[in-house]
Amino acid sequence: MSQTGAELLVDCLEAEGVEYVFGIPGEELEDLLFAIRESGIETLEASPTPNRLRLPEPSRCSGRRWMTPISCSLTSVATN
Amino acid sequence: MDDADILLSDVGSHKLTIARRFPTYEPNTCLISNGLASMGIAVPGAVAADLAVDRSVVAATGDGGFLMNAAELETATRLDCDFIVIVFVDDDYGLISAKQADHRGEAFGTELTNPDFVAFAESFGIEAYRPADWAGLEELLDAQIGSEGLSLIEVPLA
Repeated sequence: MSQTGAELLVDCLEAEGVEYVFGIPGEELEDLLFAIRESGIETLEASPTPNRLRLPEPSRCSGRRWMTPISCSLTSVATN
Repeated sequence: MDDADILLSDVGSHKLTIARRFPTYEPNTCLISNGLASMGIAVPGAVAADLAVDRSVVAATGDGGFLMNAAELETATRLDCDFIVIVFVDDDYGLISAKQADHRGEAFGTELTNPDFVAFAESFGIEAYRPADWAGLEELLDAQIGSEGLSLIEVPLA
């Protein structure tokens, strides 16, 4: 059974216990966005681009895992 | 607009129309964020253009791009800039959802919940308008281009 790279990435995120993905729905990551939609992970869109990174920071306090960003270009991926 | 006046375009559906339809007569009078196509350039770009040249400046932006750098209205106000911001409002990253619809027949994750842009601009002391139709928009632009100070025109597309 074949998988797209986006589906594989989402499988990895779910395996890591990621609950939320923050970002902006840029066209280059459309496949990833729709793969996330099919998963149990929730997407939270942030308007100003830098806030893709700032918005999830306090979630570290909760011990929950997150990924950022969905954007025109994938510049960084992080989980706490 | 005079031939030497400057139009800045943000990134989004409006950019495609500006690129295709806006006639230019002198170099560097229609500034478009292309290539990596960074959203949010219109307002800060208009600040820079207004500081750089003694001509009328118009910034055209969608709601998504405007919200990315909306706080720069404070900069523009503090620096006594003179330009017009036109915000086209469709409550959506419209170009992205159009592409998603082309590819998949549906859109996801693109909708925006907007403020009242007129009230937002007025809170900075900026004159702001919401014309009822395209004729009203043309009248406003005729009146505002070349005038002193900042103004914002909200153009609902829905």
